Amino acid sequence: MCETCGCGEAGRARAPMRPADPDTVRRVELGRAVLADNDAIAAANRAWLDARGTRMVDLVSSPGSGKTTLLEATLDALAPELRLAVLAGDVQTERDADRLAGRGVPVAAVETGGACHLEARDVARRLDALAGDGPDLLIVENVGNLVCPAAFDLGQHLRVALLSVTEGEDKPLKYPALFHRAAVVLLTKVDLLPHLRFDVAACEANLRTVRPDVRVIRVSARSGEGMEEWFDLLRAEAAR
Amino acid sequence: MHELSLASAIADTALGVLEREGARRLVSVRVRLGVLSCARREALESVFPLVTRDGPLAGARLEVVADPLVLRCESCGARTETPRPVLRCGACGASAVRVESGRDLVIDSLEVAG
Repeated sequence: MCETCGCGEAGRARAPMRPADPDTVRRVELGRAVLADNDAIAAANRAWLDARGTRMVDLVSSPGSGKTTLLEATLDALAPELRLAVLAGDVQTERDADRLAGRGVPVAAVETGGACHLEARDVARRLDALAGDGPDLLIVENVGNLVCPAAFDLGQHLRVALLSVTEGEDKPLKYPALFHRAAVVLLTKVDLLPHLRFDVAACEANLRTVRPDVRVIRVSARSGEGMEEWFDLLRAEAAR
Repeated sequence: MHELSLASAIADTALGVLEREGARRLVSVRVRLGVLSCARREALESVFPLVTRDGPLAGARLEVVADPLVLRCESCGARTETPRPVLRCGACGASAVRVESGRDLVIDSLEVAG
């Protein structure tokens, strides 16, 4: 019920005659995205990177789908030909960053201290140190989580979701917000397919339900299948 | 659980509106929850009291309105709505659709007093 006059029309309250009355309720229309502040920082990140010719690629997935393993193989393959930098987010510890170190690629860790996602300001704080010299690609390994990272634009140019074949093929329908925002999906660990009852066609159809133009690449960091296509995609992104 | 971050952002925005409007108290805030906004109504409602415990926000109500997915078909031109996260034209079934709204969590309006 409307608190101004009891008319039962919540949302129709008019500006009061005497706004100084402490009991008078007035409605303020806003229409502002809750994450508008994050989005503004993300836009600034993107502009900062654009000025340096750097493309940011954000990797998102559930825990254990193979982000770090994929990145290890990616750095090994591309570090000789592209200038790369990596930002690895982890809820606790810097284990992922440790695994990625020692490859001649600058790696920074973000320990989110319990937060389940990276925010644009987490990236903004580290841009100077990590990408001040304008690398070709800044690869972000987001926190392993299929829900929260979707909401937060980091300023990335490309968001890539990983979905391992040991997860269900209905994951895209269960987590539509995340897969909707991923232009590319890497179906990982496909070397395990012979041992599983994973319906690849059904999974890809589910992905298209939430993102009709999604590009799906089947990869295995272990066998090498599909990895060259993934590297080519990154090469093309770096050349943009 | 990023709903706490979202609720904190709602609280911050509300405090800014109170100051701008010269109001002393927040009575309620209405948010529109998009189908593809990746927040859950129950989680938002359960954390909202935590960020409005005291001060000018104390006791404020949170009203959550579901925002459907609004699609514009690039094939037949129809504008259709769906409460489900399905990117398919409701008129002709084509998947060449543009999302017009339903992606965001939006602070629609606030009721302030004093």
